[in-house]
Amino acid sequence: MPQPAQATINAPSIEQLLQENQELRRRAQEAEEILQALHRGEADAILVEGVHEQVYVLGTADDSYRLMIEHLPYSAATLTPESAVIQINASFIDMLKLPAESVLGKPIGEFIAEDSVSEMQALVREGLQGNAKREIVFERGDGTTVPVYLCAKLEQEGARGSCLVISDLTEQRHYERLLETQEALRVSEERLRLADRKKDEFIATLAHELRNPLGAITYAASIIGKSEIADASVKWASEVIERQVRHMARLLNDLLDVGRISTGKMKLDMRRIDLATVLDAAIEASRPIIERYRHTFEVIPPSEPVFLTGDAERLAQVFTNLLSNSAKYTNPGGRLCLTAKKQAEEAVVSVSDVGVGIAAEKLPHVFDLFYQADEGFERTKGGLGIGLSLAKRLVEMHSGTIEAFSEGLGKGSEFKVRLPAL
Amino acid sequence: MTAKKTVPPTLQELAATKTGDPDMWELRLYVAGKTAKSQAAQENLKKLCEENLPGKYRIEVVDLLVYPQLAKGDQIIAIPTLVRKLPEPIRKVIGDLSNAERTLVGLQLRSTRS
Repeated sequence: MPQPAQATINAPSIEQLLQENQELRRRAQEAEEILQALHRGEADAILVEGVHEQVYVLGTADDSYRLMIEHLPYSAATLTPESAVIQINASFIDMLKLPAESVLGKPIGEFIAEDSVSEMQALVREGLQGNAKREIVFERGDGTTVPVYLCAKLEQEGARGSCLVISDLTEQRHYERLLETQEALRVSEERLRLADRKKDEFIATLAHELRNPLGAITYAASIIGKSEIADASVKWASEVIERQVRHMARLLNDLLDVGRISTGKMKLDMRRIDLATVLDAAIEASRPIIERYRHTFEVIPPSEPVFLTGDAERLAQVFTNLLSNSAKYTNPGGRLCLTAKKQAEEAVVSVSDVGVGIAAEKLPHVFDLFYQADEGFERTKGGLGIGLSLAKRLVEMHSGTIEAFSEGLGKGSEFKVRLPAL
Repeated sequence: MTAKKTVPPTLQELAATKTGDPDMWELRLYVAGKTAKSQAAQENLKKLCEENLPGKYRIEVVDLLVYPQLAKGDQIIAIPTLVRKLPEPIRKVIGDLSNAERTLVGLQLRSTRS
């Protein structure tokens, strides 16, 4: 501070006093400014002098706490003792789909669905006694409702009021419904499985019961046909009976086989067999139907003997089914061809015809049980839609494959069976 | 800490940043890390200077969380505080400087300019 030249040693000059006064005023003003700034909340940190200077950040603790409440996956609110909403978090706003300003200060009852109002009143009453939990339905700004689990707790500190913590039950309800649906599906699946098994058993019993009388009928028919009184028409009639009974027996045998496979009761007599023997049996068995349709039938046997492990009778049945199928679905006077060869380690047997063919969209279903490619196609050709399905299952039981090919309706079809050769 | 690039690491360096240019406004802003008001004050100050003192100002930002000992020289208590070092006399403005009018008056920028 500059010393005036005229200053006495003991008494400060007027200028000195004025200067000191000014300095004191400045400092008082600065102190005042700091106080006011603090008071207005303009500072959010204070430097505290201790052993070392240290910065205290104001509100930091509160901030993180507030953030935590804001970002909880639960909605939360505090209420006055009169149940007016005074604080809410972001979740609460999201849940109600209303802007904060239209929630704050309003009675909580305004946001409760009508059916839940008395429940809510009870909850708040209980909440003020300590704490309480109930399921309540809130009504949103858009009129939809949201089921929640609500905990009300008396605020212990500060003004009396209650604090609500709300968990949205919507998802839980969805989940519960999902579980119920799942359970219902499981029950219904079980019921279907049981019904399916009963059906299989019924079909097996039916086929068995229907087949039983056939022997007697055939026997009776043959006696009538051979008796001395038999004239031409009686003989013809007995032959019709015998032929139809044989056909019926075949159908019933197929049904029984399907039943056996479905219930896992099909037993194969696996032996080393010659493919030629199997094919001869199949050709022999299908000859009547091929001849009835006056088809030309070409057989191209393998160039060398092919052996495989299998049930000769069942494999013959496979090829009989394929040949009968081709014969039936080819207009009379058509051409069938059976080719057998050894290719790599497989016996490949192909049955082709120039018949009605199979539409592309029906091709994947030809092996389905009870499936008939064209339901309108002369039902009189008979059959239950079993033959191909049975063939496929039998081939698969021999670790083989079966495929159907057709260029389309009217373009004929080909069935190719591959079996592991020895 | 981001303060590293804005705050000189030593008092000596801090003193060395002073220049004798009489037209230059030397401003020092004391902040405390990244508190809301500290960050707001930095942004507001930069905008204010660009608009009112283009090319004639230098701002030092002092983070007291990192260098609390630097508060002594300017007797800082509340943070953020803006200190006008030059031109003299020293002036202080507390707060986030969001009120531009009050800040300009506090810095006596209004009267010095007119």
